Amino acid sequence: MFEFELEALKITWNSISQRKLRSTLTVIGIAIGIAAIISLVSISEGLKQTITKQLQQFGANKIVVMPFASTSTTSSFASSYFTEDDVKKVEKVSGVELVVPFLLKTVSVEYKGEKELIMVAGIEPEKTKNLFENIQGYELESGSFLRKNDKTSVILGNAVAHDMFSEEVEVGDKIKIGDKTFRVKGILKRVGNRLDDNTIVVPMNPLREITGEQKEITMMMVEAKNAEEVEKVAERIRKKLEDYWKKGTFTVLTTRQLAERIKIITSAMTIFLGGIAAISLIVAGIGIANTMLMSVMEKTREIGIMKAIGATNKDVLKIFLIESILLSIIGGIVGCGIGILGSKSLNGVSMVQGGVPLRTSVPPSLIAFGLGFSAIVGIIFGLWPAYKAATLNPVEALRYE
Amino acid sequence: MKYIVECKNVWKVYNPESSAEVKALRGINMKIKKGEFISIMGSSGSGKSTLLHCIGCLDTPTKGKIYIDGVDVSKLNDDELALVRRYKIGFVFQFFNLVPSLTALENVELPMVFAGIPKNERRKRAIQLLEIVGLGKRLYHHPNQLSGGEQQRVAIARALANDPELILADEPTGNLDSKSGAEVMKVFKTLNKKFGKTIVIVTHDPLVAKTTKRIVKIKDGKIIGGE
Ligand SMILES: Nc1ncnc2c1ncn2[C@@H]1O[C@H](COP(=O)(O)OP(=O)(O)O)[C@@H](O)[C@H]1O
Ligand SMILES: [Mg+2]
Repeated sequence: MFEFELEALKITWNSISQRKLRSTLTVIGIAIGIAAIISLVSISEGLKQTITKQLQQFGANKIVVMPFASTSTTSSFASSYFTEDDVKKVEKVSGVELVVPFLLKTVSVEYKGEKELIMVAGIEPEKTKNLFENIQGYELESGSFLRKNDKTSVILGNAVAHDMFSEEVEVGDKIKIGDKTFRVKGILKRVGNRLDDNTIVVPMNPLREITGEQKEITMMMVEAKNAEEVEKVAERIRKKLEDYWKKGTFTVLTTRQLAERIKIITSAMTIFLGGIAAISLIVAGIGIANTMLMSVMEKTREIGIMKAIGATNKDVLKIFLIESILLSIIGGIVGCGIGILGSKSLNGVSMVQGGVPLRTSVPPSLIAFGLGFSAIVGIIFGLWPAYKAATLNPVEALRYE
Repeated sequence: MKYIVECKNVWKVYNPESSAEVKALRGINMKIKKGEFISIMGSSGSGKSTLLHCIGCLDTPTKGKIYIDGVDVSKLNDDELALVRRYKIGFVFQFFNLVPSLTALENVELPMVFAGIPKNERRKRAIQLLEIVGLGKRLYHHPNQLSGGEQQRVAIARALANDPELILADEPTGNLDSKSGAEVMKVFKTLNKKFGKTIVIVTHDPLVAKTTKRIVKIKDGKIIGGE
């Protein structure tokens, strides 16, 4: 069994190693394509998992309500908003435990003479504790949450306290937001996403006074009484708001729906990046075809000899297919190695400064895919040269100089 | 079956019905008995190689029939012809035609590789054959490390690999000095005498032809004596 194939492998290995430069160049072509596939796919899969994990921390019973279509661009983000009336309507929907309205504004913040533009989230102070304690990973590093009627206290995101200003901000320090001075009451632990770590939580009413926005609500976060009913509650909120808002001008999404959307987007990214890498493999495949055609030409006489001593067309076809598959598999192995290194080197790196570190991994299935794909490239692009070799006329091949 | 080769009115026409038409063989009739040692002699361009290729199933005649060991090979397809070449025929060429990247031993093993013979058996037989042709000490040499006469003897050992009844040699001494040529002819003689192989040697050299037991003369694609 496979006696012939093994021997053919030895013969082709000889011929490949005798043409070192050409074989190396061919192998590099394949290796680049496979390395690109492995690293790009593993990075985008890592990204998908990172985002999904973050959403899981968010809790399954959360519903986000936004005053713009989920398909719209960020420009409408600013122009459209909810009001306190909308909040009251949502609060009345059955199954809703708590509605946390946010007013998000970018405001000039001053600390010890230094000014920075910072995202400020206005929240009713009594809801801060409830909100943060309900979401995994959002804990205080020091200080305490805001209390009802708190008007002059704020909570800082971790990066605001430690990275934003040249001097660290501590609990009890004074900080100026707009034209009002606040006292830092609490500092959050590092969450790992840029938005939250760089935000200041401010009581709603003082923020309205600073910005002059009297009724605007940027978005609402809703907590359902029970996680199993969250989809139904979301549907009820949607129905309710449709009485006042035109369909498609607002968005109600549960955590799961949000996760699914992100999955679709990142999957599309995986396919897109993988596709680009696959195109580079087609180019590499053409390189294989070229190398093999040269090999067939150089070995024309040997093909004649093999046929004269009893090789069938199929034997010759096999020998040349084995040669092209060998080239492409070597490329595949090298490419997998490079791809794994590439993926490893990006493990733990953040896509944005201060963002969640990316967790990349190369699962065995991806390596199997890489090797399998390289072999398929070898077969497809080796087939025509091998067929040419197999169907050479033996007498003419023997006469070839 | 008494005859190993029978040619009946064999024609080979290259580029038929064009200005480049060549009638290389014009109605060859010939019979070769099993165990014969025979030469086909003629001047250059007389059609010797063409005839040998047709007998050796490397090429098919335009017209007529060729029987190898009683089988009409003019009706066989590519794969069937390959099997006849593999098991029934051994070729020896003027320019040796060894595979340069393989050692003497591996060259002799090659026909057995196609026959699917296991490694150990293959190796053992190849060594035996190389000893028969007097190259027991040159097993691991590559063709470019061997003299012309030695290369031709490796080629003869290779022709014997799958133990064919019929050895076809096309100008086997044509590229050798007279001493090496004589050695090669001696090997053929031994194969015929000791191992009973049927040997057909194509040559334009009367001295070479004389060492065989029968001489068939060919001119302009026709047999003119010795058939
Ligand atoms: N492939 C071919 N195409 C056209 N003519 C050929 C071909 N092979 C041989 N010939 C011609 O056929 C004739 C016989 O050739 P060949 O059998 O090689 O002669 P020999 O071996 O006796 O020298 C010559 O005239 C030669 O030119
Ligand atoms: Mg000739």
